[in-house]
Amino acid sequence: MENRLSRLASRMDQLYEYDREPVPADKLQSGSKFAGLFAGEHVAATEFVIGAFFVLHGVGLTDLLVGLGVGNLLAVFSWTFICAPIATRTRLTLYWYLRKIAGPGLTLVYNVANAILYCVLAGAMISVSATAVGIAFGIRTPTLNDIFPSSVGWVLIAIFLGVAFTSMAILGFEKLSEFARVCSPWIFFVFIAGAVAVLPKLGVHPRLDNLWEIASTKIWNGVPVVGQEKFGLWHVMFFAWFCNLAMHIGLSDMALFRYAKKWTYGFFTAFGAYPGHMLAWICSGVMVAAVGREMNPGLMAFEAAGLAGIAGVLFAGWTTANPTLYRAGLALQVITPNWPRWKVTLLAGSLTTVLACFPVFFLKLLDYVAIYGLILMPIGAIVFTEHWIFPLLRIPQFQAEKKNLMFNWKVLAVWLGTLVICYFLPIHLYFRWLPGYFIAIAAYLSLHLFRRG
Amino acid sequence: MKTLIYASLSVASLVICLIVPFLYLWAKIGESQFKSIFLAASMAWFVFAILWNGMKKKPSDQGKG
Repeated sequence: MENRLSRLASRMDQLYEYDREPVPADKLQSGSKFAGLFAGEHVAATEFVIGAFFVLHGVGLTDLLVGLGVGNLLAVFSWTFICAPIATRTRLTLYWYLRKIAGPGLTLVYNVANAILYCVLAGAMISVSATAVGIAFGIRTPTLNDIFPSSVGWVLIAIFLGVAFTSMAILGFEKLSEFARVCSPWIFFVFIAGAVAVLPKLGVHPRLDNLWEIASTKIWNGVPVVGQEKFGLWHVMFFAWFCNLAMHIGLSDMALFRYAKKWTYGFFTAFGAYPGHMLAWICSGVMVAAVGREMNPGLMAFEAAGLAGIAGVLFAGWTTANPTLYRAGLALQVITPNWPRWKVTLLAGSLTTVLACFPVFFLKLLDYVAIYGLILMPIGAIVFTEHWIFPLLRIPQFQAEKKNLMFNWKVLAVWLGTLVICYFLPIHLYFRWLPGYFIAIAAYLSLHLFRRG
Repeated sequence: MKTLIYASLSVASLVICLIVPFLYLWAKIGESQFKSIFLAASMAWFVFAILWNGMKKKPSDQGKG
């Protein structure tokens, strides 16, 4: 078992060989590159669903605006003050930094967990695109409480799109990445155009003098649809904060910020948080209100912007599922001995396609995003503790590396223990990660102080 | 020169994509006109932006993945 794990870890190291060394000074990127990168990355197919769900959950207009404003600010601060400083000091990816702390075996477990979570996310993106294709064939979109596929037609579309997206990811990931760069600004305009174009249907006057009144009575009127939980300011604020939890608090974006000249480049994430998340979510909220609060991204976009809207949903799903499939494939490559990249992508794509058939993943997207961030959050807390607090308390860092440990059991215990405690915390799912973060830091510190004492 | 032309046409296409829904909101054009113009401007964006992208030197991936 130990030998097999060692071989797997060795293979994983080879995959990330390019990232092993800290980024040299001549490879650092300018701030404008970061601004463009974040602006493009945060307008995805899932934005069509998230903003619409705020309406379905009966969020009031003031709660929405304050919640999104503050929540996104907290997210930007998390990138700037937590993720970027560690990345610019180490110039390493989370993978290589975690390996020093947790050991190669546990890093492998983390990688596989990440891969599975990526597949679920890509599956949700395919499902969103399936709603767009379903419009063309008159196929019934699953309803809010559906867990299993609603019809044979839905399954066929999900499989068709899954196969198409996977094939294209195999045949030309690089070309698709270039296409995604072309798509992202246009998709942003689809959101804006769609929202503006449905305003007359909602009763907004051309002079916009009743915009606030319509927004607060017909869109974010504070009344949830039947069967949906009522959300308020705190739900919106926390959602905006944690929707990229794995990236900022969870430190996945060290992969990007290790190329930043200064830690203050973290502020460039505001280009993703505000025009991307905040504005796109507001726009999708407007669009869902115009279709009678029916959770159907394809219908929303078609009613708002016609065929271009359909293309917007389809391309948004395609271009964002593509890198997600790539990342999942990269992570899965460690458990598939000697498989070429195409075969691993096929494996990730097949898993993703099966998941895409189940509408629960996009219809419960908000909860899934919360769980996704929660699962990976303790690792971010552990790395933060090891990086900043250990030197202050003169606790030796990187014990796994120094002692050549395959598994750092303290990391595993804190990771799993934090998740168990979070599961039993008597608060809403959205709020659990915050006490969980401090519990993880305290637990990891305690384990080391106790051993030292 | 070609780069400049493609860049200008790409940006112009996006500007049309942005303006045309407001023209519909202000009742200057009808719904079907809005959707047709938006579709045409979107297609123009893809054509010119891909040509523009092809003219530019391929940028680095900034360490993604």
